[in-house]
Amino acid sequence: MAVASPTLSKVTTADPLKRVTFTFLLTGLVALLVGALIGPLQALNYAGIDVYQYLPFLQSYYQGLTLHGVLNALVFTTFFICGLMLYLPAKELDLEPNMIWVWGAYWLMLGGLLMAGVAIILNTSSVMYTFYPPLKGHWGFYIGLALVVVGSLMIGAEVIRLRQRWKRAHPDEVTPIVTYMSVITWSMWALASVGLVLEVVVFLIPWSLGLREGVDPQLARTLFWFTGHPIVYFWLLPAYISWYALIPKQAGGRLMSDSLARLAFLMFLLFSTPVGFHHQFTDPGIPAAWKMVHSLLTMFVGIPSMLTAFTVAASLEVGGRARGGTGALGWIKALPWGKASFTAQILAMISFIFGGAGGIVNASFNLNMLVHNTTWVPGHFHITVGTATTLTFFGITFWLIPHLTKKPLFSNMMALWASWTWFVGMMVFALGMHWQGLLGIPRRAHVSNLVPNLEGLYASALAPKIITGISGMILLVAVILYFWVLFATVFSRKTLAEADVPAIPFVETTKLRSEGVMKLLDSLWGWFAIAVILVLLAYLPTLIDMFINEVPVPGYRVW
Amino acid sequence: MDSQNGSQHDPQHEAVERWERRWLAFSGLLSLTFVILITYALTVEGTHIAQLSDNGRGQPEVLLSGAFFENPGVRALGLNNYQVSLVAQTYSFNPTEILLPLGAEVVFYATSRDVIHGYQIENTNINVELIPGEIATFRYTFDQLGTYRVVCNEYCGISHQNMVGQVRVVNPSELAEIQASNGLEVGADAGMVGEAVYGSNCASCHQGEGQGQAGLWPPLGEHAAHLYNAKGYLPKLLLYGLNGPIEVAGENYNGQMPAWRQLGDDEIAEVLNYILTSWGNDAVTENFEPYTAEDVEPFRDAALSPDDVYELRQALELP
Repeated sequence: MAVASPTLSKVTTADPLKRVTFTFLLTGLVALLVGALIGPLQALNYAGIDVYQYLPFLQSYYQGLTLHGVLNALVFTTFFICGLMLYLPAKELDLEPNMIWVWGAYWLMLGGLLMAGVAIILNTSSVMYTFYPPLKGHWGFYIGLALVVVGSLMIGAEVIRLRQRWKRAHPDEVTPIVTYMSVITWSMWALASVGLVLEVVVFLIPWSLGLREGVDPQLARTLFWFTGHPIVYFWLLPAYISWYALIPKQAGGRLMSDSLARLAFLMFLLFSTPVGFHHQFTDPGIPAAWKMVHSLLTMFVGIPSMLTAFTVAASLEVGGRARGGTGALGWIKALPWGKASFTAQILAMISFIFGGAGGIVNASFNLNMLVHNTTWVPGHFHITVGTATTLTFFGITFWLIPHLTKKPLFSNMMALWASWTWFVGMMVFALGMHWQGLLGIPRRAHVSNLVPNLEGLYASALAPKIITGISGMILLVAVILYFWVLFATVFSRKTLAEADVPAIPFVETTKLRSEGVMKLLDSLWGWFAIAVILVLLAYLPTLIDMFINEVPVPGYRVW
Repeated sequence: MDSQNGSQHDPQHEAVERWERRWLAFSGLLSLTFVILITYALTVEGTHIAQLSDNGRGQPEVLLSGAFFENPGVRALGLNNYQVSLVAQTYSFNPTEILLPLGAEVVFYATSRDVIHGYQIENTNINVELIPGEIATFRYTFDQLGTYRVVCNEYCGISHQNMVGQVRVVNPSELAEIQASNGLEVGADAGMVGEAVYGSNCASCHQGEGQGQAGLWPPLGEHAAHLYNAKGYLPKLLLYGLNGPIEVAGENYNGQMPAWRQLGDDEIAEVLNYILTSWGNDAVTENFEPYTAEDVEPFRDAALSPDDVYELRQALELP
């Protein structure tokens, strides 16, 4: 039952944690809206259609692509995760975080976002979200992004602190599962961010301010990818938290194996970071033997995702059967497909089957040679971060925004349409781009604007080009549908009756005693220490060599 | 696992645990299989993987002045043994075209003059990051005829999409014929005439007939002639490049012109002479005296930046 209600602020100020969470989520989502609207232009580019010549607000395809990547892959993800992965553990533990600290982090991040955003919009920093030197952007770009990262680490520190408080009050109990997974994700991110922070703070910011003459591009790349691989788990694990610990409740089931879920997350803590060289197989400056080591370690980090697939599917099956599904596959039909929040996340999981498989290809040293820096790569990450993560986050908003604001979801039907359209659009995009990649077409290239004597260069790719172009139009519809639902919900004048406000769908768990194997799994500081050691082993020899033999080269502005 | 959850003798739970064990074993086996396959493939054939060459680390200026890169191109080392030295820069590969006989076993030495470029040869497993400050080396045997497209696959600036080259693998009997028509000789240091210099270096931006590219690089017909009159400007332009928006014949152009210091004095002189006598420039140039290598040489001391050349252009109020 919904009744007419006054302004938005009245329903959220009652709970300061809800207010800051809502602010984080909305900021991230607005950034995504801007970034995602540039997407269809890029899809048209890879269909061979150049619309950039008509656009007054973008100086080039490359500026647009930088904005798209930064807003979608760095800003949206980080802000949304800071909201989600602060709120869920705090609510699970029933503890309130330090609100001054949390708001401080938010304002720092917003300031950073604005700095970096303005730098990009003024076309000073069309360097892509990887900003490899010697491409030299404006100091506002680097400082801005650094602030976003620092703010996220502040939120992570606060969640870790919350767990410590809880453990002191409950010494004989094992950390509740959502908090456990959140703390692991934040710890993993803290370790992972070291590379990027070093690169930006020691090298890129001083360089862009004129305090340093040059930067060693091989060293910079290595520090970037130190973070660049585990960042994908920073994006993925929050989705996994929903799949493990919330979706089973939404499906009417339970989490099949609490300890296996914890084990999967521990494996991510250990193996997410010491694998970055698999993004650098084609770099001459990394010894081949070390590339091999990282390739092997990457195979290990594939295993917890395999575990997740099983446990999540089993949990869903329990739910389906509890809802009356019978037979080998009947449980699938019995799942609550009518609920947008549920369906969006299942579609996200399906997308990840393909994304994960493609990831194995990317991590395989020899296969990587064929796909590196082709359009295969964006094909891959649009169905991983772009769908497994983003569509899961959309699905979460369908209950979380009503939960935070006490406003009803504008339209479950429209939300379902948005989810299916996004999924289909991304699958079609992935088909087009993986295919173009196998034909050797490079990524990040304004291929619809070739000089006349190169016309027809990619004529052999006509079929996948058409597919990519169509996908961009499907995704444009999806963007409009989702954000319509989002804003119509946020600005709704109705209020839900207290009984109708969605609760956080925490899965039922048994309170586990901290003993034996469970106590071992819960000894997170120890596991973190092992993770650090693994990273040192995998990276230190190469990094030391690069630092000693540093070759700083001058920067260029080439856009 | 999970016996603490109190779900003893739950047939559903036991079934799940059974399948869980099988799935874990399968996952482990799959990972192991991949590891074995990858190791095998790379041990048996991993020579296409880029490594640092000996003495392959140093300032770009220093690396580029070394033996390999003074004259980038193809050199025969012996029967079917070739060495290719390659320099990538915004926005071309030098050499743009690599001509090889069928079955050629090639060792590449490649680097970048400015930003990071990619080097990917279609239908091969050559895929390399060319990083300024590093000389990459890698090997490949070209055992199939054809023309292989080469693209830069690492974003390098506004004209990244136009940075392409090619590898042509032909029958050995045809090789000599093609080289003769290209004006090149295998095994000797390349001494190119102005037209060949233009084709290998300038054409990727200014186009084969000097047409230019709207918004980026001006057409050269008549334009070059107008610049000739400010004697001394043209050699500086070629040696040091130009950075900044210019207006030519009422149109705006803002592509970057890279520096071409790596060309010899004779090559710069000859390519200027070629341009100034082509595409209508000769009709406009007043009292054209061809450049010589001696004309170009003194300008090498100026040590200008592309921004300095831009300011010079503005100061001279060149059209």
